[in-house]
Parts: sequence; C-alpha cells; structure tokens
Amino acid sequence: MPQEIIIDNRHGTPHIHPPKKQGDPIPIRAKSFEEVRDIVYRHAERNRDVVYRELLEELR
Amino acid sequence: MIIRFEQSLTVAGFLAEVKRHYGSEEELRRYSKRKPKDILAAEDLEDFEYYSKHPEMQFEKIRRAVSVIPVNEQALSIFSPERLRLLDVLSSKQFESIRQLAGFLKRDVHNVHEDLKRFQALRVLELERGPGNSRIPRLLAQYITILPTHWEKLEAFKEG
Repeated sequence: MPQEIIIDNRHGTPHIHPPKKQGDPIPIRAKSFEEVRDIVYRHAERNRDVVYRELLEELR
Repeated sequence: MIIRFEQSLTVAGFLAEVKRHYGSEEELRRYSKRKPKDILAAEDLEDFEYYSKHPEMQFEKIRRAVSVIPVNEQALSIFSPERLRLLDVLSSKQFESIRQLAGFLKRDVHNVHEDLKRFQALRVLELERGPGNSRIPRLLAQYITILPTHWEKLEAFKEG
C-alpha cells in the first residue's frame, strides 16, 4: 500500500507519481490541485487503502 | 494535510540542473529516446530546447513544486528529527559524498543513503555523480510548506 500520493507540477501540468515499480509519472488532465486532493482522500476512505490503478482511473 | 516541497530557480539554473541530472543535452536526448514513457524526461527535454533557444529568458524565475498527499501516518515519517536535520545541513554545507555527509551527521551511512533516496524520489534533492562511485547530495527544494487539508477555506488564504 502506498503511504502517500505524489503530485509533481514541475512542468506546469500536474503529474501523479506511481508507487515503486508501477510505471512512469502520468499527467492528470484538467484537475485543480484541490480536486486531486479530494479524489485521493475519498478514494483512500472508501477503500481503506490506495488501489493505485483504480485511483488513476478516478483521476483521469 | 498536504506537504509541498517548492523550488524557485532561474532559467539558467534550470538548464544547469538538467545538464547535471542527465550528464548533457545529448545524454538527455538519448535517454528520452530510449525511455519514451518517461514523461518527465520528455518534458525536461522540451523545456530545455525551448529555453536554450531563448537566452533572453535566462534570468526569469521558474517555480515548481512536488506535493505529497499523505494517506497514512507513516508518510509523515519524512519529518523525523534526523531527516529534518539532514535537509537543514544540506542547505548550508556541501559534501563530496554520502559517506562524508553521514560522517558529519554522525549517522550510519546506509541510513543516510536511504533517507537521501526517499528525498530524491520526491525531487527534494538530487544525487549528482561524483568521482568514482560517489554521489554528491544537492538540495533542490528551498521551501517546505504544510497545508492543512482544506486550506483554501481559510480566510487568510482567500485574501492572499
């Protein structure tokens, strides 16, 4: 289970960094930072965990 | 809560950082070709090419951030007293290797290495290649901000 979600805005567009060995950073389109945060918290609360692939779908 | 690591640098600083990170512009180009899925490298290349063509922008400021959304309490362990001291020391002193840094901190070199890798993954610092197999730790982030979960609802932030 990842203990944190990392969002990187180095190049303007925010990217989500996957947990170790789960691929490369992926851009998140048209989402404000607050939206991203709320989606992550709702996901973690609902699943009592972070299921990265599912979270990614929710963020897309 | 959101932990944000911020870096403010000039375009010239960005170009130097990219060269340090990848070795050279050519290395970056080769790396990006070899690993087309590495979007950050592709964007580094795109920005590098753009800024290289605009020398008049070299003193302009770039501000960038890595934000960490902790999912459990373990994530907050990045703020242990040892790790905070490590960041603080790197802000004022330069070391030629991880071993030298560990010696200064009077800590086990493997533990310091682990901490540095964790911060490297967050792009808080970089480990530049030094002589032989050594790595030179270099702090990138200048600001560490802790934002309460619903910070945007706070009046002070609304005004700012």
